[in-house]
Amino acid sequence: MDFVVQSPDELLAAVPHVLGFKPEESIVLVPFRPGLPVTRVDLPRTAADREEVWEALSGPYGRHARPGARLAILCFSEDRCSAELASHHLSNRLETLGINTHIRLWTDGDRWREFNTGQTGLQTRATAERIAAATVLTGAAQPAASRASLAASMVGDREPIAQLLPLARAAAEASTSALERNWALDRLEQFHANGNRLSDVDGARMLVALETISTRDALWEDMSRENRTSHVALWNDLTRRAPSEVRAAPASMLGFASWLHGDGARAWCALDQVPADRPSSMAAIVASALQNGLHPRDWDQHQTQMRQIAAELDESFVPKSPGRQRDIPGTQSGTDRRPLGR
Amino acid sequence: MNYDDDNTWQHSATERHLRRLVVPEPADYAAEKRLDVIHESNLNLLWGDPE
Repeated sequence: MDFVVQSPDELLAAVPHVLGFKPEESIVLVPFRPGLPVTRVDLPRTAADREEVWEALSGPYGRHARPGARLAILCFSEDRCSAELASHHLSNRLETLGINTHIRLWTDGDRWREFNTGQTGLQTRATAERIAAATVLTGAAQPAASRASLAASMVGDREPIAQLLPLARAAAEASTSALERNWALDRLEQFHANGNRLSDVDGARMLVALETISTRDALWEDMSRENRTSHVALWNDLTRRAPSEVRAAPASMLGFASWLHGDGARAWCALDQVPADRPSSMAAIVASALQNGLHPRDWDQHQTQMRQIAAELDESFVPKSPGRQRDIPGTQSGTDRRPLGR
Repeated sequence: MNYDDDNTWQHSATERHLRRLVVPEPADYAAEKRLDVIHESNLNLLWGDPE
């Protein structure tokens, strides 16, 4: 079922369902037709900040703009003055790319105002509830209460797996990387088939297996635009449950799968779960894709190319902590299990 | 990391790709300056089917 917004009130109520969370103190750009991305950024409040926002947006929009493209600029803020200035600035800049802004809408949560026409109105709870009910019928998940709550949803009870890690490491040491890789791939396939959450024992084993770069690469290479939803579910769950010593890999995998899913906000939240003292070059690659607004379909084209380049990449260029292996995909041999018990 | 420089060397295709791969740690991106880019969102939800 498709839902068509009929009023500014409905449009403002529908945007959280597109973003996956309710924006606060934000500017959201919503195109009228496929081709351009939807973007959200914090509302800039100074001239310098407005210019910075434009610099960030000009890459993705310049890359994806087509003649005649149109969009709406929506401001969610209590600061109407900053919203008007920022939306006007953005509108002018977008015009230089051939993108026309047909709507510049502001809301403080209670009232709305369309800056181009001066039209005003109320944002009502009844409309929000009606939109929510309509989106349920489309099968869309209900949005998180805020971006912060989306991030918080990636933090779960990490103690059960933390307690099992020593046993999982001992078992892995007694096994071989090839056996563990095959087990991980089989377990992934099983998850794709039934979607059942991994037990704590399987979760611990999977997280330890991921420490072997070739195993992680094999799981990473399984990702495609067809199974990305399943990957998001798996890595979201393991990121929630992974203690910090083994969280960098599942969080990076979640970041990548979320980007492949087109969900930049969830991808950033996933990267924030990579512990600061355990940098991951996989996470850095995802961050680069997000910051540059790369379209997920580029993955198909760049997959081979990036891996060839990564294979040639001098190790000194890759952000990493001392003593750690580089973790660019496809560059490791099959016998590269990291020392266990660290 | 700042890879901007003021020399006028032309970068090869490989170098350009490397520059895209070589990025700061995610923690170095100020959270308030991040772009949340949502690709392939269901715009029909808002505007209806264009067909």
